[in-house]
Amino acid sequence: MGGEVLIYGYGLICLSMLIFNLIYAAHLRSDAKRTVKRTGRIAALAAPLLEGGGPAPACLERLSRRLERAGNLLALDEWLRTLEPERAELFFSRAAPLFGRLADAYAKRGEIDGAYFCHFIAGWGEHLGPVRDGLVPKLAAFARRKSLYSRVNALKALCALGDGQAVLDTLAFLCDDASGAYIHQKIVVETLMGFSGDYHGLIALIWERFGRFPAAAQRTLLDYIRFRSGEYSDKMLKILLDGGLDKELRFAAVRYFGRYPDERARETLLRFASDTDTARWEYAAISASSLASYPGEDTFRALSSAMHSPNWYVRYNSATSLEKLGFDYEDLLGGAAGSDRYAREMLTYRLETRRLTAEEGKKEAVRA
Amino acid sequence: MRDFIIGFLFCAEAFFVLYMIGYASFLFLSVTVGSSELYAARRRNAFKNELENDYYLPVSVIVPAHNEGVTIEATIRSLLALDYRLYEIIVVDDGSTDDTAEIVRERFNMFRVNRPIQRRVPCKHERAVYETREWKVPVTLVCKENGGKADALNMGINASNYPYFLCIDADSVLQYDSLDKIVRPVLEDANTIAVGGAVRPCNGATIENGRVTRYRMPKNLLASMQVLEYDRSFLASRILFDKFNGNIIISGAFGLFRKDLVVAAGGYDTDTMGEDMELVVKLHVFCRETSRPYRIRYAPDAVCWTQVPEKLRDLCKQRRRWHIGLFQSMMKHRRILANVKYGAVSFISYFYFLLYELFSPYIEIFGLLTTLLAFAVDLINVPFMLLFFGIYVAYTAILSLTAFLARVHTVDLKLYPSDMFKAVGLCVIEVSCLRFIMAWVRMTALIGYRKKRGNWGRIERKKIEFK
Repeated sequence: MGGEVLIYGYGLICLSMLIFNLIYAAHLRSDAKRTVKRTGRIAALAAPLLEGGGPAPACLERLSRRLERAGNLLALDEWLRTLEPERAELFFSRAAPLFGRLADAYAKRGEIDGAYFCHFIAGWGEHLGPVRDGLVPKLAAFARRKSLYSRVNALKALCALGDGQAVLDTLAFLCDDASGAYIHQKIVVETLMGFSGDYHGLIALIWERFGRFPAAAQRTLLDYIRFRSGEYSDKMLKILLDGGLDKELRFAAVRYFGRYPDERARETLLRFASDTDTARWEYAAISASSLASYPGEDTFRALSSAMHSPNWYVRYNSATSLEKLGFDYEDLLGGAAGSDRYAREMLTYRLETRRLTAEEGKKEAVRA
Repeated sequence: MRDFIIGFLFCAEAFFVLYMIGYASFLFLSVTVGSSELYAARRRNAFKNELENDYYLPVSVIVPAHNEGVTIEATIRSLLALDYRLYEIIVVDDGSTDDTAEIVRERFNMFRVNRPIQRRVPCKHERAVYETREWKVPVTLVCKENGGKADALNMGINASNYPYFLCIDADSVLQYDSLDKIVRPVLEDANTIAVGGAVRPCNGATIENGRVTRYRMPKNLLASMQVLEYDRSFLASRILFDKFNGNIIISGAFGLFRKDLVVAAGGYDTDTMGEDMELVVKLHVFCRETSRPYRIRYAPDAVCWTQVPEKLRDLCKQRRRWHIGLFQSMMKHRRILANVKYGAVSFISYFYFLLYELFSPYIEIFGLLTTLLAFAVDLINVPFMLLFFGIYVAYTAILSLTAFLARVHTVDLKLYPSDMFKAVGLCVIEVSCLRFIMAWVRMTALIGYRKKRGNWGRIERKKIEFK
């Protein structure tokens, strides 16, 4: 009997879910119309801010109350996107005080709404003017929430506001294993690339606090610096030459000097690429790649010798670099590399790849 | 004798009550949790709670193919239409006897190269490698000796250049945003080592440039019933398993894996027919044995469209193959069963698949025989039996419809009233007829299965309309 009751109970709950889904489906059919209406209502409340000398306090109050709902904030975002940039700028110059209050209101709401508020600020933060300073600590608090989206959107918002100190404080929290928070290195790098303030100032802060970050975060920050600027060769050289450092940091430095060639790094890169110790194959493989930016006889010799490495990646990267440096494969094949089967295979393949790319280039030219 | 039969029937009844309560509870939980999760995900997306920037993880897309001349072009074109930047396509032709390789070479202007392939996982030798740089991403065709699907996938892993690989069947097409969606769980959690995507039947769909422009229930009734089945499986139960890191199947039609871990675990097992399930179970075992934190995730919003069989004969072939794969994977990793080291994977996932998937056809047939026995000795209450069967059909039909309707929470799909009526009618037929046919097919699947090793299992294909 108990079994039957259980089955009937399950059936009833599923039936109610089925009905809910049906109603929801009907609701979705008119979703687009409702969005348009809601945007219209918010536009009617927000538009007076763009008129005359400034908004009436009552008007601001009404708008503020409405915007405490994420759906209305979404509608405001829609409306703002329809405005000319100068009009949007004017809106924020007049409505800016609202956003401090809204930050407090969204801090009390759920994770989804809070994350959306941060997303909104990330999109429009650059227009917020002097109110930014007041918003920064509030947004930093969103970055400490449980939801990954809150954390990511808050970090984006802080980058949009251009406060380097707050960005690094937040990163220190997010990258600290003890905090239990997690953020993927690609997200950190991409988000930092969107930093709206002075990136030199941000990088100066990074160097200042570099030692306080765990090794994985340090590597991420070095990647950011590599993507951002080639003006930090001195610091990177120290990392490259410091044998006591984590190998991932030194790899990051090797990659940096591949992107921004510096003669001071040449000798070390050549030494790494020529290293035959199989335990250090990663140094050899990454350096072989970076040496593509260092033309010269010594590079040719090091890469030719690396072509005999037992490691597949070292051979592959060496062949690719030789190709980029424009060395003649036929000569290489006829020389020392020709007697080594693995080196010969790799060089032949790269030679064919170069031909394919050249063919494609010709076709592109014809099409153009 | 009669006392013995009465005793036997009493035990059988107790077993079936417990069995059915277990099954009903599982279905109930999977459908309610799945439906609620899809609703929550839709709300999260509406309010930009998603990783939507250009965070591209490099992915090698591997397409194993054997005699797929009819569909291979559409599959590759769908891959070239993906809204993603950092990926490569590797087609592995596993000794096709049709024109699969010619079609790929000619339609995509490929040239033969002498590419050295590093053997990281075992596979048969390549006969030729072709490449092209004419498209937005590099496309490679590896023609190899016939060795089966697992062997072809291993070759794909060996030929791949990127740290993640995605396997997709050659009779399937990916939705334009599916690659972007399937990598998100990896960005959300560094311990994610594999992600399964949702597989949906494309028999009733029109796909334009990777976007579904029209999705109706297929005209073919058998295909329509499979739509209901796929909804129940992909939109519901996998979401439930995902909640406790308990997914032990990632469909071979669409799954993303971290390459270094798959290589460390030994790659695909070429002796197993269900290489997709075997790999996932192996990854669970490997990570738990080496005390490595890991997550195997399911991404319901990453969608792959696949052709489902429209003929009963083809469906039986497919299901027989799946059941053999299930049997081989579960037997190979039987040490998981009731082993505390494997936690929920052992006590929920493995137990569920053992009892309600692997043994279910035998249990169902046993139930039928017991009913006949009870009927023969006049120990059955026929009206009650019919009522019980009616409740079973109605309950399972309601659950199927709930899963079917959960599609309203997924992007791009609309619900048409005519499809709804069709679903209502077909879910009853599916539960009361097709399920028993499939039970019989699965029950007899293991007879002579050893002869079918390395066999791709041919199913009649139709050209996919990819505009």
